[in-house]
Amino acid sequence: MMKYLVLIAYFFCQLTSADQWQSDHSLSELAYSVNFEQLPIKGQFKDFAVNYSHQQQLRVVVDITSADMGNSDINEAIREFDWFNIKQHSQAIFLSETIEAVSEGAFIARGTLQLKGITKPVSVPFNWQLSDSPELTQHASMSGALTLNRSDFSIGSPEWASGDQIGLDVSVSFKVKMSSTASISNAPE
Amino acid sequence: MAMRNTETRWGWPSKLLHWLTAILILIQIPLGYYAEELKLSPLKLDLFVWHKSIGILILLLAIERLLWRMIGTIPKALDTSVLQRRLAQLAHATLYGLMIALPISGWITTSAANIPTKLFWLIELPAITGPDEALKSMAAEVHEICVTLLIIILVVHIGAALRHHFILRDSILKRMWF
Repeated sequence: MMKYLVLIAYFFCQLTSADQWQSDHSLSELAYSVNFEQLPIKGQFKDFAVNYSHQQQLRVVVDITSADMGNSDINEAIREFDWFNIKQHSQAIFLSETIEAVSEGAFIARGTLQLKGITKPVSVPFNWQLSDSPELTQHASMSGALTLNRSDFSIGSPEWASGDQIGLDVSVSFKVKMSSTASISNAPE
Repeated sequence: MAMRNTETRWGWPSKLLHWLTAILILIQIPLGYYAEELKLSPLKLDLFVWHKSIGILILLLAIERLLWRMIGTIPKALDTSVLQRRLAQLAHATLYGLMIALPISGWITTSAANIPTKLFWLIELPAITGPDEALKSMAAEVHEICVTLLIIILVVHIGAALRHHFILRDSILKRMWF
């Protein structure tokens, strides 16, 4: 009996001490840039959610169907089979396994990115800045950038595999407003 | 070969610019129609880089030719009827108008479509408008109307030159030839 009580108490403590951070959709941005005939064009995913907690680590879910590149023809094309193939793969998910502090406010989340049905290890460097707020709700800004190779995820294949017209390197950047309702909040550890 | 135009013949810069433009336009029109018809592919994107590059080149050549006309003279019209001279003038003015309107409307189309352009994969062409779907459609339509008009005027222009040369047997084509 005592053993069970200890276990219950243990889980209860874990739950309360765990901050649940969530992104504020309207104040967040997930953008990318790729070369189009040698000049960059920009795109963004309008719908995505970032969650962070001590147990779950960092979890980013991106609605691929919300991709927007500011051109109706391109928007149509990237949804096709050769590119994002959104009929079969409408979501991308990043899950961190470890988060390492690099310096004051700077971290690297190492984990896996599942994109177009392919899972690859990806490291996401990011800055985490806690806003001073006396309220119960805590706010933080999270930002970072990384470069992905689209061929790792079979995006733009096979016709576009050379990268001559549409570059292979895709620069991804994000600025996310996070908020936590927990009373105690910590930066990722 | 004389550089300046005279009352009876064209100088070499005018001839060179005329024939260079002629070659570029004869490549440009089928290239544009072909690239437009292609389904999205690396080839299509490359052909459009060529199309935009050649288009801007034609625009620059047209401006150059207009400036050259302005600072110099042009050969006198042959002794034909007033109506024929007026029609020839109108055709030439329209050709110049189209050599400017076509590249500009194409430039607006690609800018409004949010597509960047590096001419001949070398020189970045700045956007002249921001992304705008409605403007893109409008400019593309103007582009298409202009090219239709260009084809008509070209048929008249080439037909008239050949008629002068082979039927009327006058010097009109010869004085533009080298």
